[in-house]
Amino acid sequence: MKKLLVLILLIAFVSPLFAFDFFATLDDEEGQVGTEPAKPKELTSLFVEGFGTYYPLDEDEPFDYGISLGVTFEENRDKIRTEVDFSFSPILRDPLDVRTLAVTFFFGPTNLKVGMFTHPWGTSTTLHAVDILNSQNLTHGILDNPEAMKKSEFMIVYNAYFKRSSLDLIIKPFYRPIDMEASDRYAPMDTDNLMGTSFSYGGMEIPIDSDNIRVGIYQHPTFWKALGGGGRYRFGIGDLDLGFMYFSSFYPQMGFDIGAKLKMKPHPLDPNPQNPTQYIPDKVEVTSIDFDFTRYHLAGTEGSLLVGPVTIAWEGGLFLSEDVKGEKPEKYNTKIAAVVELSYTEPKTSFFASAAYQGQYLFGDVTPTVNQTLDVIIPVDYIASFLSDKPYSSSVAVAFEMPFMRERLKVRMAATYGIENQGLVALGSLSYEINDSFSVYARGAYYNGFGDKKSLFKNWENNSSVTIGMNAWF
Amino acid sequence: MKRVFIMLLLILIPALIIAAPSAALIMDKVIETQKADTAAMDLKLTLIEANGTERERRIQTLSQTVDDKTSIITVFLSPESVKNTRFLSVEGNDATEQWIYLPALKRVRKISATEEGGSFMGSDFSYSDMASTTYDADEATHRLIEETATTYVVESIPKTVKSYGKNIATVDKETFLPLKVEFYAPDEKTLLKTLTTLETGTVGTRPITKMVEMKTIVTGHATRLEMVQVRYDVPIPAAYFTVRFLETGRL
Repeated sequence: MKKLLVLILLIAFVSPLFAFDFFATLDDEEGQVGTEPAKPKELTSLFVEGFGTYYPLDEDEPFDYGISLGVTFEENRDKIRTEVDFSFSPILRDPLDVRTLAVTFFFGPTNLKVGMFTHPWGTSTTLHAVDILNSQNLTHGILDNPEAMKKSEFMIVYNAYFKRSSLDLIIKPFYRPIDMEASDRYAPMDTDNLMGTSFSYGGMEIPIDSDNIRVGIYQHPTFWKALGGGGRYRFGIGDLDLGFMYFSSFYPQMGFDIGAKLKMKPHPLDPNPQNPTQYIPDKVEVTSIDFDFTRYHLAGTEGSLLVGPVTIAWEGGLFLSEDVKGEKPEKYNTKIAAVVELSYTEPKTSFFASAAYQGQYLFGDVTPTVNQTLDVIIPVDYIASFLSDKPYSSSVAVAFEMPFMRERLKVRMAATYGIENQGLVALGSLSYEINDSFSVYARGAYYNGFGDKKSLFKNWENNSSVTIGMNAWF
Repeated sequence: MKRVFIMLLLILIPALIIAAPSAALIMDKVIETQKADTAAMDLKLTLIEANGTERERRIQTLSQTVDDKTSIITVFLSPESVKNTRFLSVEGNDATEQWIYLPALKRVRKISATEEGGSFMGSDFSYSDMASTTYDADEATHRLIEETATTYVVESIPKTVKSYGKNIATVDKETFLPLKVEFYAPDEKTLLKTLTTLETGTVGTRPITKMVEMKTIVTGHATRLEMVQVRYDVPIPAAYFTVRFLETGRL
């Protein structure tokens, strides 16, 4: 902690607040008028955020609070850029969150970036199908900026730019699975939800009992075995931008290998209830859950087309899984996924609005079954499709952002609805800039839905919240 | 009476014929004075509330005109909420293409081009004001309405009315810099904004306005625009006006 503080102080006071400067790159010829001296090429910001949240439907833990200290540092030299961006939140389980720790080497129209960072793929804004290079962090719930839900990962990215096209090649030596709480508010769905509430078997609905579950974890894919890599080529023709990509890696979501027993009970029509001889299924008792990680190969495309004032963006791809036939319950099945988004950006007012549809179709059998040997088989893609008993899942999302009061006040709204699982999340925020380095905000998150409301988080509705907070920059 | 009227016409008509091209010439000269093949500007915008509260925005912009087609790249340096946002506009033969890089999304997005209206970064300048605050001879009908020892006062009525119905510019006779511009609503009577030059200077032999203030009459809100650094007609690498620069922020 002391070292961190010293580092922050050093960065804060050694480097003045300035950004990359056009003027440093121009020939120093006559014709310049300046009221300020030439600038250094470092940029440092200190950032403090504090917030308090009220969960009106959560009787156990209705209040939460947090504070974090962030630092961004960027140094631009002739051929090298160094970037550091991290935050420290003392009350979090993982207090240090490194968002960027990277060095970029520039060679003419190409560059090589090495370190921890996020590298986006895809052309849409709210929902994605091929933005798979960084796994997600779901420990803070669902946020209105998909980029803020990403985890940085160690990558080596080579970018090459041509006249109207570009190529990026990526190597990911390590593997970071999706980040989810083991318990607490934003833990994954509890085992009742995980398994569904009942199975249809032999004409009966068999409830699931999930007491005394052994939860194990498989070893993450280790170095070299975890090696992922691929590339993307993008080009533009008029108002059409198109890209194609290939990537091989592991699904960031873990698969579940579920062990279970089918418990029997005496048949109600047994003539001798004191000493029964006839039994019927009573409940499924889940005994263990183990995790596994599945390699896949993505062949995908992304594109956007400007039609008048509207941008049509699309992403789609085939995720060819190790378990091509969907025979192994703990493995992800092969699937196709796609997103279509319509968006509008008004440069005069910075108004932005979008509407998107996302869908995925899973190949192979995804229906939960209880087989003859009384094993429960629940393919993980069944869970991934949010427990709908269909081989597909889809969702829609809408979002808009609008500044008011000469950009002092910003209003953002976003909502997403799972068509099959009928889960709804609506997010809204107001932020008000008191001055250039201090702003306050109010955020609301509304988790609801229809039907069974089976969802990603075990406390779905209870996560509805109201947050007030402040941001300060130094 | 009739003879007097004819005589007045004979006197006035040549005067009007002479005055009209003169006013157009003045405004052409104003545009010409500010014209450059390339320009690099480091600008500070100070947003001033009616109660005197100030907020600052800092941008750098490069522009390049080749064959009458202008490309502009703008980088937003501050405040934090817009820092590192980059905006590229490339004028083509048929239309202008525009892209924006949003650091929060880490993506470049192509957007529809816009020409007029809209507040630039919450300031009192519209996007069209940032391009030019006066009209050239082709864009408007100009009339010299006053001449003093040091200034011309020219009224300009745009041929196509968009944001403004009329401008009245006070132009320095020596430098042809606009010292004051009044912007009127399309009804040509309601004064919307006033632009006042606070400081002038030179870059080489070129006269420039170093600091101006635009005030919105109804709200009392004002924006002071200061040229922190400026260079004209310096070589600017074409690589600045590319999507590569938008994405990487580097040449």
